[in-house]
Amino acid sequence: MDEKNSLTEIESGENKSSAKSKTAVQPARKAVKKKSTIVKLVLIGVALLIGMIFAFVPMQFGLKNYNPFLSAESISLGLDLKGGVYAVYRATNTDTDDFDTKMEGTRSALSSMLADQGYTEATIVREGSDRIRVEVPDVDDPQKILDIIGEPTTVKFVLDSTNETVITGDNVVSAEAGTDPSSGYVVRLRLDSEGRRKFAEATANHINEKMSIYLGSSTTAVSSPTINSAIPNGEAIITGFASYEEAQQRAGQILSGTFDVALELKECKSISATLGEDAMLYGLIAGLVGFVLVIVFLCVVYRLLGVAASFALMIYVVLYLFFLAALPWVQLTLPGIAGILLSIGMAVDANIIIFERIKDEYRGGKSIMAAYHAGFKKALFAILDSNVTTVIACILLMLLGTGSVSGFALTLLVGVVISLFTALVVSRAILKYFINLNSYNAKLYNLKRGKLYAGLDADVTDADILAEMERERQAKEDSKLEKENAKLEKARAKAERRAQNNQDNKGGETA
Amino acid sequence: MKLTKRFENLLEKDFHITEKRKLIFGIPIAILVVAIVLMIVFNFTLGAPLNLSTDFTGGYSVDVKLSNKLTEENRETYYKQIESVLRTVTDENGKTYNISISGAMQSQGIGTDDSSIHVRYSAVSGVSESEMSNLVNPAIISALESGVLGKIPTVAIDGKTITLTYGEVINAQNEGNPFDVLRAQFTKLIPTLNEKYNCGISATESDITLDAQSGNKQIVINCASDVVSSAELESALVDGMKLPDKYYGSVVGGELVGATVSSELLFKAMLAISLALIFMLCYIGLRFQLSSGLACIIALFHDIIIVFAAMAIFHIEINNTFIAAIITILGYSINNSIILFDRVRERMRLASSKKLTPEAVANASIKETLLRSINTTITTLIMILMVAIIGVTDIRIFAFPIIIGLLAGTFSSICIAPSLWALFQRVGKNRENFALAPKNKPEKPAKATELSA
Repeated sequence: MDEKNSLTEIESGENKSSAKSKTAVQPARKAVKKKSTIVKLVLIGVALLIGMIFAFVPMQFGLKNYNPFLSAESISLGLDLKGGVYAVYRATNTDTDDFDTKMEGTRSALSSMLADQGYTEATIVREGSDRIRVEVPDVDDPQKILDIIGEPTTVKFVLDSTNETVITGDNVVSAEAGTDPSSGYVVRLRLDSEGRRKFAEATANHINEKMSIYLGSSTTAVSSPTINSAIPNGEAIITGFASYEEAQQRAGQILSGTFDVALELKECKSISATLGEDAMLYGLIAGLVGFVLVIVFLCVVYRLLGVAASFALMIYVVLYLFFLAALPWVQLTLPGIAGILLSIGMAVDANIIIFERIKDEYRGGKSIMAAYHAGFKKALFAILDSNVTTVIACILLMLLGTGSVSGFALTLLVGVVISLFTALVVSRAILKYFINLNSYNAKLYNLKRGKLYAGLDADVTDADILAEMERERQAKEDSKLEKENAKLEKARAKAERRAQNNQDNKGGETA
Repeated sequence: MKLTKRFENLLEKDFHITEKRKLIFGIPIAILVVAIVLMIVFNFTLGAPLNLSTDFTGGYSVDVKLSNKLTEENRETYYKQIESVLRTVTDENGKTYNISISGAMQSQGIGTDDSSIHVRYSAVSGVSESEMSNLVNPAIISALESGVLGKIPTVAIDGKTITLTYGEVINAQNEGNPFDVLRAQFTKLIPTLNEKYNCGISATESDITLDAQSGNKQIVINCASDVVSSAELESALVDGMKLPDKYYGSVVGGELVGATVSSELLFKAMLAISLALIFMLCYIGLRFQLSSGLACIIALFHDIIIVFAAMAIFHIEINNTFIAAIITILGYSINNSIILFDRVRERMRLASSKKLTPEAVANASIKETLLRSINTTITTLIMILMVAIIGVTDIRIFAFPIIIGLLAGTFSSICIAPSLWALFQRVGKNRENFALAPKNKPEKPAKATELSA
């Protein structure tokens, strides 16, 4: 929309100046309304500053503390940076067949259970022959691990009338907490085929009887609902929980009770960060130093183009930190931080591709403004294609990978998408404003002419381009108008035809 | 400024990179050969071709139980102490081992009654599992008990006096007097000492005294007759006069620990990467040419192989962060190649390219993307080098393969991918797009290639 504005401004300016000067093609340099461009640039700067403050500076609003995006409170940190809680479970039934295989199965069941709850960076290790050590990051209270994995418990559904056990934990495939409009907080169980069959049979044969649900070795039922109708779909629901947290805890316990090996909690304590606190500090210092060096490099090599890229890069960092803080399943580890720092280096790539294109176009005789437009247009597909392939890889790794692999792929994916946005939208806008301010001094942009075009002015064809753009816009508007007219015409013709038809019909009747 | 001038002059000239196939394919092959030879050497000298961490291989762990002595402040000191103790561990046969700790140590609970430090270490190469558990692990435990907990005394025998020196103060503590416990232990030990070693100690308490001059760290035992020093006597004293766990903590563990990177995780990651490669190939095949896609994927394989080769050559530890590094390299490398093939695609749309050889098209595209490749590599290298220079050891281990991957990726996108593409254009139907002579006749070199000779 401002494109249109500036164009009309340029045109009116041109008219004025052409009256004074005699040259046929008048440079557009004096014509652009610089004030509004400067205002826009300042606005972007202010927005960036506010973003930076929210990203990095802890603040206090009245009594409430605000945690910036970049803080241990906002971004969930992995075991290596923040530590967490560990628990050691011991298998109680070691004398079963295939004990080793069953322990392995239990191990992977535990790991997928933790990943489902967002703890992708948790580690699960076998210790000795009969123990499993679980380390969960970003949890302060050892008691909390009990909410996550819990003390494994068993579940059974028993018919009150016959005292017959219908299903046990062995039939449970998954358990999750939820709410039910009629009975409040519940745990929903999904049953395997055998459990489904048994449950359907029992509920069909014992309508209007009570079925009690027992957890663990307790002899008091959690709840004893009355069977109202047969339940063929195998969805068993346990009701009677006071809170969602309680339901969630129970769901976890039931699920861990379904493991191949019966586990008992042996010890559970908090655990320190493996890398110590200075690891993160050093990482941040490295990031800051590297970032400044990259900006210096860009500004030296590409001058004003580099300045625009630097702005875009800063916005990239703020946005990235925001998403890392906002997305719940991101858990940052030291490689994650290194990956982010690396992605800053790579986010520059899109900018560099565009700038090299602009340089090429300028070398080939275009004006700065024309080179800018052509450069973005030509670089677009290269940038899109290269990023789409990375996105494909990230999505596959997220879907198929487990634990830390899928977590890392997610951080990478977020980075790629944001870097696309900042390069194609932010850099482009800022660069346009810079060129609006000065489209005649190629030295500002470190652009050089090729041998063939050595004598050409930097903004030689701008007036032509602008006129061309205006013509295009006009043509577009014209064709739009034409289309609208055609539509109206069509509608009119249709109405006429209808009227004609009606008349014909009427005529037929009278005849 | 001279350098930039020279560089610009270079850009003015025609490039002939893709024709230098021998050099281009020779370099990675040479690196690979070196890596394979070194892997074979390492396999015999160090026990394993690659330096895999316990994340992959599993290992052992001990808990050094310090109870409430462990605080936030002294944690690092203990870490250092444990590290130096583990550097030289001597077993009962007098053989010395250098135990390598894997990853970092962790404190479990701080300042509580059951606080401890968790240490993981890998098996000593060339030592069997039973030797590990019967010989090395007990040696590690006793080394930590004497070196870190100060529980085990050093014995000095001089005529009629036996001096036991401890690493810790042994007088009154807040929950009783450890010296009392030691005295009781000593009373139990007297019959053995008298019968076996003729110490002639009377069963009175006055024969054992706490030496205040040593800062309450020494116990002096007075015997009736001269004592003959022997290794057996010393070990009997060491075993019998260990400081009590109650005050000085204990070391437990020495058991096998499984790998943190499960085979399931590895398998799924491999599956995901293979599928990703297939999808990428399809996408590039659709948007560009199948031959471009193949060249990209081969370049990618090249990068990953070079990274593995570098890890083998420098014998750098491969831990769970390596998977993340490989994923990063994958994304970076494919980016590079695609930017190049975008120029190739653009060039192929021009009618004039029909008069050129595929090598000339590839060379022109390399020339156009060269500055971009170099500049992007520089910015990315700046970031990762900063991380490597400023960061801690663990992060350096992560940064190393990425730096190698970056360099390999730049090389493969400038040299390998376009050369391969040009080669593929000489096969089958693709030939028709270029100024290439029919296959059965000797080729007439086009103008651009003539210059390279």
